[in-house]
Amino acid sequence: MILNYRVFHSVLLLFICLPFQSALAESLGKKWPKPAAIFLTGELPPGGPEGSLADNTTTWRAAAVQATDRWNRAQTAFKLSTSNASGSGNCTSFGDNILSFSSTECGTAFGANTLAATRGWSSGATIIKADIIFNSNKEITWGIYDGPIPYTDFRRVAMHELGHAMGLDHTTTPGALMYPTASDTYLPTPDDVESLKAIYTGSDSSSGGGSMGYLVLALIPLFGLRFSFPHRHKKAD
Amino acid sequence: MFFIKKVLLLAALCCLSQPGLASSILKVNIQQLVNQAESVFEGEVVATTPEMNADGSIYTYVDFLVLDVLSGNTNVGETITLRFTGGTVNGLTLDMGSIIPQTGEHGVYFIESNSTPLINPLYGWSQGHYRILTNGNIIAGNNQVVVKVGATDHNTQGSKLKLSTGIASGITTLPPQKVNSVPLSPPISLYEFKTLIKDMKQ
Repeated sequence: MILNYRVFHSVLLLFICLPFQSALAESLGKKWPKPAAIFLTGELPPGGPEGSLADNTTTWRAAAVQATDRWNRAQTAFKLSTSNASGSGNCTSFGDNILSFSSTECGTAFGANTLAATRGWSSGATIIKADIIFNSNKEITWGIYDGPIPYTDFRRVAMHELGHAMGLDHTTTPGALMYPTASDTYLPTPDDVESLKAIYTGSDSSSGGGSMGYLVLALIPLFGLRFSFPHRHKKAD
Repeated sequence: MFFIKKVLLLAALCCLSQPGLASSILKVNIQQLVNQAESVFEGEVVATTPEMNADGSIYTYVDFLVLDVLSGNTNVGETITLRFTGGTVNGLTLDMGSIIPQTGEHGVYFIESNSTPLINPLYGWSQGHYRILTNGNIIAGNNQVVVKVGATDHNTQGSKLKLSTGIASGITTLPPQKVNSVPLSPPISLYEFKTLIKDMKQ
């Protein structure tokens, strides 16, 4: 009787939690129909940062390409591509996926604390378009460099936003690219890679990633079984 | 009865979950929230209206009935409308990573600007968004219960570039399931929360 009662609640809880899986996993709960997307970099300024903040990268466009290459080299199961073309429809649900700098987000102010915004368009659980817009307002000093991060590194923020664009939420693992505090990390970590693999290949070897988080949550009422079985067994004997 | 309570608690935790964070927002601290927000009020969401504009973008207009004013020029009893970029129209969703208040929500809101259209009109996005549950608990943007509000004595950014985790520095939260199990960390009441915010403003 106790078994059935707990199984019933686990199943009930699983169904309750399924629609809300996004925040329990390192996924936004949405993904692209195919594990690939092309981002156009032609709307980024042709130049690069001034002064000493450039790190072996002369232009914003080159840094954007490097950001996608770094994700691709990590073999995440998602293929990012870039094109130096200028796109269309960067404020609508149709057209190209565009990386750009702007002082506004489609005419709307960023606000005091917004570094970059990703406009993610979706239909149901399917991502159909993503535009990444970097705040070009003067109070933000953008640079391009690896290593310690006293300034705002364009390439690192681009990689972080590309992670969101591919369907990743923030992680709780410090040091990962998708961790909310930028760190000295400038390459995808195993946590980032496994989280993406969990979305697009279904393999979930990450801690707390994929569907495992809410599945475990749903099974919590069953935990008592491990302790009650011997007891019940003795009674049965 | 125990299992029913457990199921309800866990179901509530699931329901507290919100869409993901798709933009990079700087972490702010409580002093910034209090001093740089144009207005701070306790209110109830009485309506939300998602609309697609002529350019094909989606905005959700949220109507708040103002119940109490902590700072700024808002008036009690007034209904104010804030525009959030994002929402769903005809099955098409635009997600900027904003947590858009829903009809019936009761909360305390730190408004960055109601005159200048912003992607998210709340200061620091979810860092300026506090929901009040029917049991009196205050839920911060990280979906945890607020247990302490205190001034911070350090620079929020420090030597690292810190992005928002949904909660401003200086506000301490606990997961809902731990609130009553941690000694000396009871949930802060709405009265205490509002009093501390008003005191910081002065």
